[in-house]
Amino acid sequence: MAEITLDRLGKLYPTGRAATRALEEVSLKIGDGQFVSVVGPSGCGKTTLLNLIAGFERSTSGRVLVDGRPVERPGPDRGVVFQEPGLLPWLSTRENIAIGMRIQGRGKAEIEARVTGLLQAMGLLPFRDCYPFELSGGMRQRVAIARALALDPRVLLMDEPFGALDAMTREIMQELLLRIWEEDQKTVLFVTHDLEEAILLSDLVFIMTARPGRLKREIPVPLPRPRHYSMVTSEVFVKIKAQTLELIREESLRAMREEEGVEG
Amino acid sequence: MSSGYFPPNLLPGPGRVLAVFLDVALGRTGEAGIYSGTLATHTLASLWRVYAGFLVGIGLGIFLGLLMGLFLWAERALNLSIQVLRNIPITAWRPLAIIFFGLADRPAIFLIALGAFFPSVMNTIHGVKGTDRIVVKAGLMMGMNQEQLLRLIVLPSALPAIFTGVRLSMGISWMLVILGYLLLDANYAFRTDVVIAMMLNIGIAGYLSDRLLLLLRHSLLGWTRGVSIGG
Repeated sequence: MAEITLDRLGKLYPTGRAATRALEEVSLKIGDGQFVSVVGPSGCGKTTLLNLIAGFERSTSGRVLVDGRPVERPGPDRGVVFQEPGLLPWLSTRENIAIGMRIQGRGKAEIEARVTGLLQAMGLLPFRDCYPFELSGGMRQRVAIARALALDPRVLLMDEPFGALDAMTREIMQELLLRIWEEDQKTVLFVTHDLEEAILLSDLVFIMTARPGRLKREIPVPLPRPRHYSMVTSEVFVKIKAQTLELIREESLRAMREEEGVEG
Repeated sequence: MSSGYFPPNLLPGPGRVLAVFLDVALGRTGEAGIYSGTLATHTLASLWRVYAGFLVGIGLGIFLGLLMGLFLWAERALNLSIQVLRNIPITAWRPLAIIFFGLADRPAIFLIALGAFFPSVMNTIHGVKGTDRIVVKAGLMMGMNQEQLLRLIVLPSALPAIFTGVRLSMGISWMLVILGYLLLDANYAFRTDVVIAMMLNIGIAGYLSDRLLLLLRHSLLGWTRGVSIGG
């Protein structure tokens, strides 16, 4: 599939005379077929990082390489799932999943077969002709994931995709995502503020510092695959969670102190 | 029948108005005097003015609205003029319209087009700017180019707002046809009964035009059932 390399990546946002440093000197490598998560205190630049890889924004320093090629614009080789579904409200479930392939000029039969496969895998078959407003939040997000997968991207970028869902639906979606990933092992970058979610899903958890976002620690998750929700009570899981929680707490406190310092 | 408070020739009652309306429409009784049986002709003339002006007005309004919603340069170039011009009562343009276009249909069409332009341009800008940024990002992710983004995402997103503008434009178009010949003429002739009958006629014609638009909206915008208030 694909490798992602971030090489001393930096992003400044101009704000009046000064500039906000959103990201600074982020260097990391994500291996082919790896599932990695990025966690950190709010405002640490997690989403900026994802936007840079997706090509929605341009970095102010450093480079993003996907399979050795620099990212210059968004494209169907990098599927993105946003926090909100962002479906086209005037298209049915089926059409929402198919539209990307149409843009790519794929053949009718290929589109038909792939869409049906995805509807099946996502449990959306009974809702194939529904419009987004007729679907629940969890179903909409499943359509959004199917839409991204329909393009057969080499990389899947997910920006807190389950953040807006209730706890029960979130668990179901996490398991669904695990099943899909275990089948075709795409490279996944998953941004979240939910530590348990990050550990349960990932091979590797990147912890970021408070603004300006830097890489603080890289924590491997040696839990066996296939993963299952019951693992959250395992000894390994609990240990990793305690360790990462401490690191994030440090950063969150630092971020708060700095904000108070600025205001006071 | 009369209202009782005003002399019937000044303010005719509903019965009288209905009788006059029927005579203007059918020309059987002659109660409407020289206006007897003229409804079809006048309504057709009004329909032509209203629809010609309406189509020119919304055409220009939607086109400029799209430009202004999409491009900052277009907004910078046109916004101030539009914001100033839209406060001027359309009736105030009447003398200028006559100077520019002479008499008969053309000045009336110009005034109606002007009136229809503003709601359409404002709502189109609003609709384009209200396009969900995440949906645009999704389009970019799929590899859409500028033309595809406009055709497949921005236009459909803006369509409900554009439609609201078009509906308002249609209403204003019918309001402005009051500048039309028959109404003023009957007013000067102190035929209040004919004036009220014609008001009724405009009301009905405007209502039917709106129903027509709603029918179009329903077939075009069925998907908004869940996301906006239907009408």
